Amino acid sequence: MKKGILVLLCVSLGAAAWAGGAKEKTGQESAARPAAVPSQPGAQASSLSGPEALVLPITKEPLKLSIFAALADRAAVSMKNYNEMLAFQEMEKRTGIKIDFKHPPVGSEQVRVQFNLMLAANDLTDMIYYTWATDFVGGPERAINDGIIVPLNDLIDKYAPNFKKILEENPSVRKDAVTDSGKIYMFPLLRLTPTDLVSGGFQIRKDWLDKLNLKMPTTIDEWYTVLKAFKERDPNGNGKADEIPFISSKIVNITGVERFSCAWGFPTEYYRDGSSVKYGPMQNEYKDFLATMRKWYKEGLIDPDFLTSDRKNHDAKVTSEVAGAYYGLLNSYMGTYTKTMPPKNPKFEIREAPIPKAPDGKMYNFHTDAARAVATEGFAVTSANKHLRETVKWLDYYYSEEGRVLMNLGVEGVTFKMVNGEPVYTDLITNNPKGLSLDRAICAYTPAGASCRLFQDTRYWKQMMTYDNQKEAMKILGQASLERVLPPITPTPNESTRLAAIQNEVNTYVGEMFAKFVMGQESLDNFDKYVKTLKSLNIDEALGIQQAAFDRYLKRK
Amino acid sequence: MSSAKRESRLFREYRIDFSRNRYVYLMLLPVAVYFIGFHYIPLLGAQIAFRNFSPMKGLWASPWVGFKHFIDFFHSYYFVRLFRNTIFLNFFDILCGFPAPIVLALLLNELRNDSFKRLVQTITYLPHFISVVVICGMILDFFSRDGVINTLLVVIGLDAIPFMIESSWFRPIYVGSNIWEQVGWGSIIYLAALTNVDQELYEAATIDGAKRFKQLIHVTLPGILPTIVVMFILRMGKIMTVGFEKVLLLYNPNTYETADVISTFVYRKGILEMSYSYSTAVSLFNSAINFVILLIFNKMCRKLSETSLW
Amino acid sequence: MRNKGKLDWLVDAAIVMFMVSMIVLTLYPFYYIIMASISRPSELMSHRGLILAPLGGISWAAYKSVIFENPMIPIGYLNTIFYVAFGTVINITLTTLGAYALSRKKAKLVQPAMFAITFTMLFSGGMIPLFLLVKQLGLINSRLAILLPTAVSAYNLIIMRTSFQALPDSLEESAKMDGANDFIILWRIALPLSKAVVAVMVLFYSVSHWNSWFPAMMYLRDRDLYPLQLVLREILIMNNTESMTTGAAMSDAEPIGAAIQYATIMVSTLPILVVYPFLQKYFVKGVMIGAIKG
Repeated sequence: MKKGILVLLCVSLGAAAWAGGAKEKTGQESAARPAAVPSQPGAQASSLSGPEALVLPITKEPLKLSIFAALADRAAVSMKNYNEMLAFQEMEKRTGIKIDFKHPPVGSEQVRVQFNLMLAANDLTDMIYYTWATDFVGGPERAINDGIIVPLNDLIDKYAPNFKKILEENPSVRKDAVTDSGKIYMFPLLRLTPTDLVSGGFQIRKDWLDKLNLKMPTTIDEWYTVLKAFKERDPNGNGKADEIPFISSKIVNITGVERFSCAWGFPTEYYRDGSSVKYGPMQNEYKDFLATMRKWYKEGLIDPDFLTSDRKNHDAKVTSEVAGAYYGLLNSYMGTYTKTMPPKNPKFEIREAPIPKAPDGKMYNFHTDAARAVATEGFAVTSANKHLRETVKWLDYYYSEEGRVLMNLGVEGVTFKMVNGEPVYTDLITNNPKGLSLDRAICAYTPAGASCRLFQDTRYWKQMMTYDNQKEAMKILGQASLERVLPPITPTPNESTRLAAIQNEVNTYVGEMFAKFVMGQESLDNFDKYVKTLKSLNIDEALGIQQAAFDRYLKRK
Repeated sequence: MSSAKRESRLFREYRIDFSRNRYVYLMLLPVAVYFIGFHYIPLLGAQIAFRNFSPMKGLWASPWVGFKHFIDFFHSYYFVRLFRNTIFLNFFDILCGFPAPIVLALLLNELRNDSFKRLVQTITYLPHFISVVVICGMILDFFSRDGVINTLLVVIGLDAIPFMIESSWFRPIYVGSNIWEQVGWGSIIYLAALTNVDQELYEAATIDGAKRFKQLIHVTLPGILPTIVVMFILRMGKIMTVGFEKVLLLYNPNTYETADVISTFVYRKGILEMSYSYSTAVSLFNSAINFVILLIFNKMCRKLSETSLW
Repeated sequence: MRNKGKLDWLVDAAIVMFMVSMIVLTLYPFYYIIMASISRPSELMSHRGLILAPLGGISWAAYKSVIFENPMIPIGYLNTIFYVAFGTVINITLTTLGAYALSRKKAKLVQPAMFAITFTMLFSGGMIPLFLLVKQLGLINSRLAILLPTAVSAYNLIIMRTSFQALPDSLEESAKMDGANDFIILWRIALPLSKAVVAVMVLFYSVSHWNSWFPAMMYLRDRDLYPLQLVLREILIMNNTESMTTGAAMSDAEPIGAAIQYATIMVSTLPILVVYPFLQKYFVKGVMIGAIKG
């Protein structure tokens, strides 16, 4: 046996040595990757007079650039690759640049995995559309320092007049698109119309409120009254006390119940209070929040299955008319129910409730994932790119007036018509012959709402909000303040490993304890013990890291 | 004997071995090449567990950190609980789930009606093919507070039980549903083994006056014992590997107490940061434990039954 | 046939009843899925609990959406058939050769080889090194990337080896005396006696290829090479996320996310269910080893 193992070892070592040689080459290649230095090929006009104007076509000789980007699921129903999309085909006609899209399989986890594999294999495309602000380990500063992407400041000054103009007119945009040391790392997706910055809120059966003669609740106490009435006064009129006043499902892993913490002025995670970073589940007021939820749970006002309820369950409860209120998104919750329920029950009406007021009288909105002015995603230019000038011009086109129209509304005469000076989607979109719903029909022709987009035009968004209750919801939610939302901050690479380790344990503990406190298995007298445990899990260290990152953010220029 | 003489004796032994069994080694060659190429060479990459792997730097240039990730893992606040849950969950799964397919195969073997036998077989293996996502969706639905099971309980006069919320119910539901999913599929291998039991042995036993049950004990079971032993060793070698996706779909913060296992904890950590090094380190730790268990059981089974993996 | 006493009838009856309950328990969820997949999607949305008949009448909307409106489904099917066919051939060839070789105890390297192979079942370098290897071999985005890295399963190898070990030594000895070499013994003697385990191997490998999606996700870039399961997984994801839609379009007026999930399950498992009975006969009929005396 021993001799046998010896022989096997020799063979394996030999093979390993052979492979090791090959691997070292890769290692050397990686190590030898040059630090990013933006090259400036050809003679260009100096930047004394500002950036070059954007003139189409961008290039006279055939040029092909590659892009790594997710294939958005809305688009995937209609095509296999973005080069089948009308907007990009038209863009090619106008700019003269052909794009080779490389898509990973659909699904955000797949995108992450493929992105990391691409890096590991050192096989970069010319541009990468990715959530650089949050999903790159170590932060965008690291991506630049390690030579993956190039800083864009000079390039923008030289070749991107449209984007530069936006930066000058909106200084806050710049802050969210630079690293802590002031380098612009990507062209971000922008949403410049403030009223468009909403994604979801508390939605309630208005018809039930009317039937029971109740006002729309604006504070937590009013919510209590309303939910109690839903429970006791049989608003669905079937003679059974089967109503579940507040149901919940998980949106981005946060249950609807947890969203109520906004009525105390904080979310169930990190937030900002002026220039300090704080952690919601640690605040003293969090105990009041828990106590209130616990009371509601005990009195049957909250769905007992709120921890396990999935979307399907949620839909079932709404459509079988036992649910009174919930926390949901504008498009897929409010929109879907408004579309499907009225045929069955004409009285069915969902309306947006305003965010419950905090003790200081203000309404604080913390739900911003899909609705930041400067999104966490955008195009970065990689170090493998040998045509920086043309690339930046191509990207700058997105921000120009024609680019905005092309990438949000499409091609005139095909996907939109001008009506009284405003672009309106044609029947091809609103009444799609293939039966596609609105957002999917749009994405069959433009990247609006998908990936590979840099500017969300308000004319697109307004037409997405087709129903009155959605338009109203936008106004209502727009009244809330976003001042306590923490902007995308980046810890240093060393800190981020530590933060992730602490955060995983803290999240587990907070999640467990939230369930136990609310459902009555843990007495609220133990709240102090709970805070002590949090501290022993190093929450203060995590806060320190976040604070340092936030301080750096505030100093960004 | 001098070492030179010992060496030349080694060489001679191997030369004889190779020439006598050259066809055997020839047959083994493609498989060997496969394992070396696609398993042992990438195994060198396992060292990212000892480094701080960064995709940009590549494997060899990532800084070496020794056992740091392992120590981080052991010092985690939840380490003991995760380890305990992983072992317990697997232990119950083996205790109840291992014998089940064997029992089913033996019972099927007793059926005389061939077409009924085929019918049962065809149907019991169906659940294996349903994707875990759908199965968990059904479990969540049926066992919910107002789901089918609770409705039945109420009808009988018992109280509704919040199955999915209570930690104490997690393991039974997990193991029970595993059995339901896999018992049919798992019986296939035993059924195949049963076909290899020599019919003549049964005839001899009948002549000797053995009744059905005795035949089961003395002919059937010994006949498939090698298969059982091998399957058992293989199963024990996976003791640290729990059906991650299923736990992920069935658990919630209230059941973390019994449901949170090593792989789900590491998964949540992975969402926060793509730490390949950490997850590889944990995975190596799991593998090491699996390996030790495997060695122990292999040796035990060899002593007790002459069948073993190697 | 075996003795049958009075007690035996009772035992038989008990066994039969047990089998029947097994059938119901395992069949019901499948029935549920079939019924759900042909229910009217809007009814499905609000339904909770047992489903005994298609809700709201039979609707093929989900199937229509999954099969006909998605160009990737036929592509996925064809690709998977390719991977299953060629993959299984490679698997069976290598595994049979290897398992037989490893069952010959007389060869000295067999025991350490078994150890080495079992070792690979436990320890692995993880996703990244394997990816880098496949990349260096130039296999990224090729069909070989699906067929080669999974050419042999150690688990299956062990099972098959166990089966070969169970064959009586006398067979090999008498054949050797007649001058046969190991290949001939494998082909003419061992294999014909091992039909059951070969059938099991074919089943295990082909089902594994059928269900496989992870290698495709890692190694393939060209959507034209995607296997069925990857396509179906995309469909499930697409209908689970908040891309559930709104809007004025009339034709797909019903949200069909849940129904699509079920239709997807059916589409992906139906072929296996059809193929299985054909392989089954090898397990049901007793295969006589036959006897070579002495």
